[in-house]
Amino acid sequence: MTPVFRHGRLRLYLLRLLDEEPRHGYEVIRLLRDRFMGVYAPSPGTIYPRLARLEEEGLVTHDEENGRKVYRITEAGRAELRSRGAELDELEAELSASVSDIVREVREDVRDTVRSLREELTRAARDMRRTEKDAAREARKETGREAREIGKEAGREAREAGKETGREAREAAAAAREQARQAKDAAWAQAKQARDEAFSRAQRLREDAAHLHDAGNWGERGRWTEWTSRAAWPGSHDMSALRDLERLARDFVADLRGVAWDSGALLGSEVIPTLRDILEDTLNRIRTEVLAPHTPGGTPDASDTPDTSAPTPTQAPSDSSESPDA
Amino acid sequence: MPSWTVDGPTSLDFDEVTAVNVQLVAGTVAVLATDDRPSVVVTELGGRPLVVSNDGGALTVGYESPVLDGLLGFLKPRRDAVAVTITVPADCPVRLGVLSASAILSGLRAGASVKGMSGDITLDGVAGEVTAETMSGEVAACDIDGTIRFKSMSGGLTLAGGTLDRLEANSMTGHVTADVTLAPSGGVHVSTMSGDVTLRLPADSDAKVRLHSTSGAVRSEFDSLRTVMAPAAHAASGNVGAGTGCVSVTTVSGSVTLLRRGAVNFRGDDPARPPGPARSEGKGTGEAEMESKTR
Repeated sequence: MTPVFRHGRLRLYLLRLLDEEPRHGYEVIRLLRDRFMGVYAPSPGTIYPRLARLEEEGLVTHDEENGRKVYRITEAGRAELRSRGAELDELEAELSASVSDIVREVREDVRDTVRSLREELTRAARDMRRTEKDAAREARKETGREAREIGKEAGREAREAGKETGREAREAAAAAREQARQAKDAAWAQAKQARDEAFSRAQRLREDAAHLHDAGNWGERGRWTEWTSRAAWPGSHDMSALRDLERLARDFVADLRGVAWDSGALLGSEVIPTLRDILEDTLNRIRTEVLAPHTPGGTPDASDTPDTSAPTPTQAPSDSSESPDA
Repeated sequence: MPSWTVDGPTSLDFDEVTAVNVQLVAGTVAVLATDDRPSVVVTELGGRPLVVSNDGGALTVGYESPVLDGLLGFLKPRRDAVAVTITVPADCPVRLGVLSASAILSGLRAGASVKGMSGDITLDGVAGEVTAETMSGEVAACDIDGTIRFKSMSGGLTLAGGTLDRLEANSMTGHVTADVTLAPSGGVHVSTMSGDVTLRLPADSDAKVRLHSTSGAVRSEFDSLRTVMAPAAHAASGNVGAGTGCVSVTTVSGSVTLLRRGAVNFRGDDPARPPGPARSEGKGTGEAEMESKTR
């Protein structure tokens, strides 16, 4: 497309344009551009020198109109055109062909643009897809790693916990054993102490009783079983003694129960009769050694005393025998 | 009514053309806008002679008998191969019907309607209401301003540049690829069966967007859209910018991709595009004017 006009053709075409009517330079340029649909746009620097050359050759002439040069063809110019008629026809054909070129170029231009656009958009879409995929893969990897780490951590923690638990369990078991041993020891000690205490208390009780008996107050005490019918309590002293006795009996039962409980394994059916014998014996001893001296110098109620206190020893063993089952 | 029967390469000039209607079979037909006198230039002609008529500005180029002579007429598409270039004023509406011929339209500002079968359609700098329908032909378009209606079976549509009031594209297997600017409250409605849809809009577009594909992938570069990838319903929807315009894409198995473009014109921004000799030639003087002529 570059050589629109071969050598001498532009000169011929300028003559042809001026043959149609007188024109000024710029109009010639515009017409040329229009003729080639913008494909060929000669610059004034191309056209004006050529018009000047044509004028020198006497083929065109110019007039000044409003300060602009208007070129018109001369007779010599027309003669030149006529002599080169064949060449002019050829030029016209070429110019038609150049219109086809325009069409082809428009088409190629659009196709190029469209193709590059499609490539660009396809690439952009692919990049987007790849970015998405990468992100997804990255996320997957990340998640996997995290999961693995969490798993590892959990495993480690579980192992730690297991070890810890095992140790704790072992320690707990040891502690439990120790505790059991201590408990057993304590129980034994307690039992011994209770027994000792019971004996010492019994001793004290005996002494107290002897003392009371010596004091000669027991006569009043002898009627304590009738306290429900009495209008008034025997007195603060009697009341506290009664309370002491009650506490003593209660403590004894509790102690006995405790001893029996602690030595539960030892407590069998054969133990009960033995216990009963011991307690009966004890009670008899209490009756004879602690409380009996009161009878001779006491009130007529003295004979009642063993009767009223009789259920106590029988009751105590039965209580103690039941308590292990509770 | 002046009428010419053309049986060889020739060139015809007209004083006035206000509308063009062309019915051709095969070859190449181009309609270019010009400020010069309207013309019909036939550079190649095979088969039947062409009939050119001008009825008070209504220019018609075609054959004596209808293009589709008989049901099987299109089975011999090469018979009536021509190469015709028609130059008309830019404000002249153009109607074109071709079978296997390629159609090239450039610089028209009053809309154009092109219906083809297998021929490709090339549109360059056409404004107004543009209709392009093909069976299998591809439609390639640059810098279309206004409204585009595209229908095709297997042909694709590619739009490069331009500001659209409305784009309606329907195809079965053809793709729809568009890099356009949406006019305020402009609407894009694309639906295909299996054709992929790729749209690129400026980052500062205002549109209510709804992209949907039954089985294809749906992707969007606009962060404001909510993407839902449910089985058998891949969708992205939401507002871009103020949401004054509308972008709606529906496909069955095609993928939908919505890309974001910086605020630059496609053609003005693409240095990779090889400048055609047609344009490089005229760069020296009056480029703007030249452009208006060429299109």
